[in-house]
Amino acid sequence: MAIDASFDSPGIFRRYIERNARYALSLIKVPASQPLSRKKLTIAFQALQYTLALPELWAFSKQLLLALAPQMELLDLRVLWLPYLKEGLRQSLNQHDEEAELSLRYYLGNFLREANAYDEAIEQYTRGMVLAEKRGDVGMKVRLLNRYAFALRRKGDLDRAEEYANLALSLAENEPIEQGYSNLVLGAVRYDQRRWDSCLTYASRALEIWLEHDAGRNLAWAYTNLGVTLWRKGELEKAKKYLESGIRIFEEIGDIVHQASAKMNMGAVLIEANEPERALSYLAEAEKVFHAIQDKRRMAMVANNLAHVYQMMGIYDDALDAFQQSVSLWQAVGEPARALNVLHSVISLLLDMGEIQHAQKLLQEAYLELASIEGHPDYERLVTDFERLEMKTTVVAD
Amino acid sequence: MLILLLKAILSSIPSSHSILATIKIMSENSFAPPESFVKLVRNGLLQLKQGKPSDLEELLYIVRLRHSKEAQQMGAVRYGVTKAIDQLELQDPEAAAVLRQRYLDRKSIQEIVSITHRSQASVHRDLRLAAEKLADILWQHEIEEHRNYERIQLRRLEPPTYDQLFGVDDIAQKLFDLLVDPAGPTPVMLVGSGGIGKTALADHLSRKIIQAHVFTGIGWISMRPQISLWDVRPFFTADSPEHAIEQLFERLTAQLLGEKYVPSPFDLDKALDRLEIFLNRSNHFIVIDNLEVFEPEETLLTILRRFTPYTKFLLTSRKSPTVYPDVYPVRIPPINAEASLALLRHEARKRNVVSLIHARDEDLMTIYDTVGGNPLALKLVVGQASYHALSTVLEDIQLARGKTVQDLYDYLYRWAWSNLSEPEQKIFLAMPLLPPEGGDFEQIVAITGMDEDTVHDALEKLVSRSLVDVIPGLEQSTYAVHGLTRTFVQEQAAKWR
Repeated sequence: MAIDASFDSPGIFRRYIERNARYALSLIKVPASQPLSRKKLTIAFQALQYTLALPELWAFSKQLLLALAPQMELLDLRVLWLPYLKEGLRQSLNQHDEEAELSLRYYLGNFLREANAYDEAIEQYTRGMVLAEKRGDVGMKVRLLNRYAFALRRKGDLDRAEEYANLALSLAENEPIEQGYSNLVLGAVRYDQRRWDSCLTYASRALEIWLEHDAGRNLAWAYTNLGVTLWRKGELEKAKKYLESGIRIFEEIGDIVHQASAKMNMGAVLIEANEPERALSYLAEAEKVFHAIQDKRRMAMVANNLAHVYQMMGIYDDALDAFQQSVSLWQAVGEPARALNVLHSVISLLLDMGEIQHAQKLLQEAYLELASIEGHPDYERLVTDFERLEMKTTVVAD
Repeated sequence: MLILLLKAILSSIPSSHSILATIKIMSENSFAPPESFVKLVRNGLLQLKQGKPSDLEELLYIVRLRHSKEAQQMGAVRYGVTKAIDQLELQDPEAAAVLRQRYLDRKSIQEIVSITHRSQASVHRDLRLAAEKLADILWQHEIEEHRNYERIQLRRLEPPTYDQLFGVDDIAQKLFDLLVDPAGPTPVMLVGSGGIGKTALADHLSRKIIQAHVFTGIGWISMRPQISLWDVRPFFTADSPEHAIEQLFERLTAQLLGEKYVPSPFDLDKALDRLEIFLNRSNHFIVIDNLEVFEPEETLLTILRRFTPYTKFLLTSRKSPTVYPDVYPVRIPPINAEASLALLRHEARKRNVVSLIHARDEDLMTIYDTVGGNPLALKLVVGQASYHALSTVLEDIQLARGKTVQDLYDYLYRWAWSNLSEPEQKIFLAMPLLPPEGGDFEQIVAITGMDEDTVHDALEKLVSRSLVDVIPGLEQSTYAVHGLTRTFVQEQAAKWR
């Protein structure tokens, strides 16, 4: 029995795809900072799956991609989203749609950066900046410069990160939100350089700017960064207060992933404040989100913090397991310096537990691994740390 | 520390449920305990007085109290009885006093006679009556605990996709017996084609098992791809077999043991260790649905072996059982003629298809002989009979005779399609664009561009033809199609690949 219709059913289906895309777009017309409901997100996402299959509906795909991208960023649905962004970028190139290409490179760069693919992210930002320059789009250029700087900072290239953040700042005269972002990146660079006072200055400036211009996600970030900086300065009560503000705003806007990051930081502060039970609660909340999205970098961080909590609570086996998980995760994401940092904690713990042979074996592995990070900013410090540990190992063994 | 806590909690879970077997016979309105329960309370009190292990230990009420600090200090039965006697005191202080003296303070009858200035016979009678009153109180607690148990276990299931099952009584009973038999096989796998009712049968069995109280608890994990960002434990569609396995046991640990027992940071081995301790101490029934969606079978089965035989696993899959050598396969057969006829008449009554309601068995047998006992296929035929004379339906389905299941569905959908009016076809064509869990009326109107009345009428007809399902909602109903229907519309009608 043939499929007959008195009408052109494939043609009608294609028209439906277009109407469905219009309908989805009408549903998702909300400020990018507000999360969409699960229902709306599902409808829009499904509409996009169909429009992307029809190049003639590029105009709809573009609108859906650009409307969904900030939402996907907000929810950090990168596992689902990356293939769509890549397909969108491919189609934007085929369609010679530079406006879409520029935005998609920006979002793609952000997702790649958050997925720890820094070189790929930088490539997208670079191409985006060239395009922004060509189109005379200063606003977009500044945004890309800032994200480029942020990716460099994540990569450990602090000097260039600072250079690009300053360049962005110099161009951001009419872009207050981006001025805040430049300050955020500069603060992060200072944080990595352990220059806490300077870090506090930048973080405070970012907060001031965003308090005036943005009550959403950026503000939550500013509170969180300020909280972390104050923690480093030893001002734990103030740090808790700022982190609580950050967590609350992330909650309000439905940004569960960045809220989890703020909770992880709160956990770290609570460890220092000698409140292991509360720290455990925050860290466990954060860990399940990172695990759900398979964010190995943050999983590595939170595992390390959890290990410290277990150590404080005297649960040494769990502490050891968590430390070792953190080491493996840092190695998996290609950050050997961080892996070594945690390995240092593992060896210290083993010494405390009296497991000297195991500690000595790991120490040898650490020395082998140290050679691979020669030239890294943390190299000298780590060498010194491991030498101290070796002395301790010898003393305990004697 | 978590492990220690877990062990402490586990030690409080009864390994058998003999009392529950008594409880399950009660009706919703049975406020008075059966004589067997009163006897159990009397014996339990005596055992408590004698310092022996008490039958009361297995009461769900006592089991729950075991978590409390007081129960840890004075013993769960003693604490539970003390609380129940305190409750009795509010109704009958004298009855409470005599029970307390005899069973908690362990006084002899003679001592009680001295205290109360009553005859020995009177004290015996007072004790008997007081024990009955205490049994009333404990019975009410058991009813409450029983309801709580069912509520907690039922919450783990998904909403049922059927209103009544046909022709599965025998297989359901055999499976039930197999699953509740401590020496029975595990894992058991329900295998069958799409639309045969694997998930429905697994759900039916789970509900039956919950009612029977034969397992300490049940678990239900669906491997269907889904995103749950907003839940207590967020999860995304797994992107690799390893991730799927991790996700499965992460969710199972959270479901059975509670959030705080999910290792943090998540570690599969640790989660499995915790599950193993938990599951090896108490019997559980766990369903893993839609196993074919992802393919973690080898690793999964290796892991499941750790839990057998204490835990009964029921898996569902479209895949042939030969792929799973260590599994006890149960192929879901098509339902028999009698059940098929009952289903046809049931669906006919639901849709008010008069010709089928009053059809002769021979006519219905013609449908069965052609379509076989596949519930979804039978429903599609009822859908056709809603709008066509039975004679036409019987004539048309002759062409489906002898087809494979896949070809049969293909034929039935094509047949259904050819019998739809143009507006109905156009509405049907919109269905794949709705979210799989269902889309609302507004979206269908927006997609088709038709006026609301036309959409409404066409949807009503598609529903009565069993081509579209209505999912009732709190605010509004949504419309969805079966996966096989979606594939047909998209691939055959819309020619969309």
